[in-house]
Amino acid sequence: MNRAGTIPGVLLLLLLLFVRGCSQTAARNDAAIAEDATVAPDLAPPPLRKLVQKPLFGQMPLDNRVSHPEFTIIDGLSWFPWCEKCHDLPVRMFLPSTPLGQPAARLPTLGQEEPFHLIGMVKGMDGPLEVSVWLGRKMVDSKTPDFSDTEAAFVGVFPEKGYGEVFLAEDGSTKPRVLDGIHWMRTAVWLKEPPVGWANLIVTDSLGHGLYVTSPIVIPMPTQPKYQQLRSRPQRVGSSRARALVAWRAVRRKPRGVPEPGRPFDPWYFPPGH
Amino acid sequence: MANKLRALSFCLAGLFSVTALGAELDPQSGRLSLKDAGFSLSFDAVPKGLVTTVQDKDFVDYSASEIASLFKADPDGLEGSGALTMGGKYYFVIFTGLDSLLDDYHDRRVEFRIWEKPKGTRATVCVRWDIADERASTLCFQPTGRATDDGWQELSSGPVDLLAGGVFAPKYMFLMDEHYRSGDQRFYAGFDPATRVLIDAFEVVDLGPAVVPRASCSMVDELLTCGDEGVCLYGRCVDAAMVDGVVPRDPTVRKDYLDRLVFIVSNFAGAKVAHARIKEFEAAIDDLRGVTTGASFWPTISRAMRLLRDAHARRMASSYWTSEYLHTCIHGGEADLLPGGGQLPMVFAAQGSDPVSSKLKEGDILVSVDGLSPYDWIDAVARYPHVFGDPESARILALENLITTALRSGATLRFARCDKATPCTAGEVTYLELDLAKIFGEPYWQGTPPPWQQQRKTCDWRFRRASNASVGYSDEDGIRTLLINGAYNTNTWMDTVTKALSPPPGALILDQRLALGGEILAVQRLVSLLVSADDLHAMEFVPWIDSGLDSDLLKTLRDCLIKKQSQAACGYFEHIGIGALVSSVAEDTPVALLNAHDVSANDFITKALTYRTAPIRIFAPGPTLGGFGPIMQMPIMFGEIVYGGFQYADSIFLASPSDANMDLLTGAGVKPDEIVIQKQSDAVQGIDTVTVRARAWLKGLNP
Repeated sequence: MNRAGTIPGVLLLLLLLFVRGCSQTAARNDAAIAEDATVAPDLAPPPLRKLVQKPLFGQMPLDNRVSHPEFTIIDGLSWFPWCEKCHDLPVRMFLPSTPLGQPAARLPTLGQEEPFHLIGMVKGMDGPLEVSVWLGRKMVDSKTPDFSDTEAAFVGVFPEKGYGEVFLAEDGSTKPRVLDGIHWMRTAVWLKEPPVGWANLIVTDSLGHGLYVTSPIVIPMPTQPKYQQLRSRPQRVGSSRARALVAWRAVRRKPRGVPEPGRPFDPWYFPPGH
Repeated sequence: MANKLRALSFCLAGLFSVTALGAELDPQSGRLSLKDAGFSLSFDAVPKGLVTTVQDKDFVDYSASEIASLFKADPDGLEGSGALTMGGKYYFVIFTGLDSLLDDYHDRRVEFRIWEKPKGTRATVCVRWDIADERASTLCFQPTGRATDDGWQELSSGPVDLLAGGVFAPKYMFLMDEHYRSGDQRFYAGFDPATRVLIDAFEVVDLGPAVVPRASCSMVDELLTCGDEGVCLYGRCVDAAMVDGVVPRDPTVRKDYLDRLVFIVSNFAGAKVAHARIKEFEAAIDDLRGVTTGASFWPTISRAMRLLRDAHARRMASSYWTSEYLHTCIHGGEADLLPGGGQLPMVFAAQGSDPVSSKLKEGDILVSVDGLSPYDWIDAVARYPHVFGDPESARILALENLITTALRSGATLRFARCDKATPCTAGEVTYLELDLAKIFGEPYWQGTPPPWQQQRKTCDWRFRRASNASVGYSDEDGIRTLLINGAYNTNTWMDTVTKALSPPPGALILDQRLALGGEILAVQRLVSLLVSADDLHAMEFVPWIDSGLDSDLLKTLRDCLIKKQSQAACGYFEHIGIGALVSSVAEDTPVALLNAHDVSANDFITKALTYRTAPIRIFAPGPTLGGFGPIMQMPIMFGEIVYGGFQYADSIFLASPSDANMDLLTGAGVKPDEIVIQKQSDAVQGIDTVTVRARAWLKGLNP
């Protein structure tokens, strides 16, 4: 995918030299961009490590409309985890490397087969946008894991149509990545007419087998990207997802113990004697 | 394309901004070298000279041998021959005695740096200054932007003078599993005992002589006295980083932080009033972009958040200094016993044994602070902790924070006293001058502070209370007083409110002068008891819609909610119907509503009661704060330990199902029918002026 066609020649040459140097440097750096990747096991450590600049938000676009894209506060509002019968919770994971250099959420491996949903707030907008998220699973015996039991949906209220669901599909134009034993797959969808108000990105592990989620990104995108090998996924857990959304309302109406914003968070318990 | 260029720009920035400050990689070995560091910890073994404590998630200590096992040899370590492995089951690591190893740096400006490599979790790393064995400042490290291509990243305290107030060195360094903040504390996220993080290469970088003057100061003159890196605390200049936290100094990190902050507020804020003021917010933030000093960064962000007029907006910070409190409460009063009269701060309560409270009496009037009138002093303090929301209300409520701010400033307070219930002549007024720098500041900085009041006393706007409970009621002279401190969906709250109004009393004082907000279901219950559904149909949370709200969209949102029964599925639109759950049993009861500091749930209650057909009269010193909407927390973007937030939706009220009203309410509070301020002449007699006025009005309805 050549997107650099408008850059003048000499500048392009210089930039390519930098990009080449950068991408070599970043081959094991979690700041490396997805397009550089190929499906391959982890590379061996370079003989000499190098200093690099680590952006505050990894490679996330700063105009990302996901409210808490780094899962910093999983408080039942910004991110609401839900499954009907289990009491397991997601864990915020800081992995050595992820496709865009951001933290991940790890959905739990359940003891029984049932859907586990992670619902995140996303602000809608007026124009076309792209919704994407990376899903990951551990490699076992160097085999590509199966993602057929996973779903990522973008749901909300669409003007004139009312409630609607749009499903993300594997983005064949971006090669999967294998980083530290996790196989990552980008899923995406482009919407010409997005929802109004707040919407939700809902990632579902429909059999509770465990799933990593990173870099949920919703950004303006005026024209539809040329996705390759898009595979739509059948809707498997619609009724469960609907119950999760209803549960969100019920939970919000219950008393909460979450500290109010502005109240200092006590950064640690300080044991007596110290 | 934008993403690719952005990635490229980071690469380019990386080539030029990886600086030589702090330890560098040895080009021969690819390992970090601390040989030039003045003080460092390599973590190859348990550090000597420090007491090392490791605890699990339940604060149980590990044994010395298990602690020693965490300092492992690591051929891939960043520095030396090993690194500290922590996180997961090794939740907390505490190094005690740092101050005893840093004698050579007492007059120096330093920077603490450390490296971590996440293996499932991260560490929150902080140093802590104590005064008289009590926690004073907590300063947590933030990412510098420097990293290695194999996953190590550098954290830093930023530049800071080693000694707090020129006196105390930090005693502790703490490291704790990041899940302590982002997961376990939030009820919706878990913790994995198997996750780890590697820690290596702690160093103290000597940046030169200390820059914050060892000088006495006040908050009014702190810019001149304490310079660009200092602020005034308890009458002495201290490093701003210890009070407000690390400033993002790396240009790329700083730009990303501010750009994301502006994007979040501009796009996620739910209040119409906030969107109308976004340009002002952006301009205030833009003023920070070229600033590289420490004193103004976080206070400027706080001022920018206040511009939004969202009563739920909160500023964030990445450090804090433990507050001390006096048990004196000051609110606005009418100084009708002083020759000049006028509205001035008045002592509502002085119940503590501290050297200030013990000298004051109810009804004393604060006439000056540092020689200025109280409001002039508030205006002169750039870092004054203002209340957010409707500016008219916020101005009145600013007095709530005066006594605590004056204490932190080390200000001199001058009180006037009239010891009788009739006006005093000038000669009868006695004055009391309290130099808080002398009373508190000097012993504090000498390490012998007076007995501290670290538990904040809630300062009640009620001069007298009908109940000492947070929700309760009592009867007097045929009038029932229902007292609520906010509206909460608990059994106690719901039951008490229901019993207070069923059967309905003949007349009601609803006293919510200490209004702590609350939950919409509790509002719905109380309002439904007091207001007929014929008078008020519903309250609705409405998300901000970029293209503008219109009746078609509103109908789409309402239809969605009916069909899906999920606020989350329907744009986070919510409909709170009146009368759906309980009957409006007390709809005919005359109600005197007493307000003072009213926000959120109390805004809703006040507004809803104005729809009553039956008599309702609001008595208050000013409007409510206008916080009409639900709250979301800001993401943690730079290790903030004081979380920011704002409303993610606004609100409308509907008198009937056919009401086409679309007025979004946030930012403008509900004005009182009768402005009432506690009189000094009543205060010296123990009389609550507002209650007396409310009773007189109710009696007038049914003589």
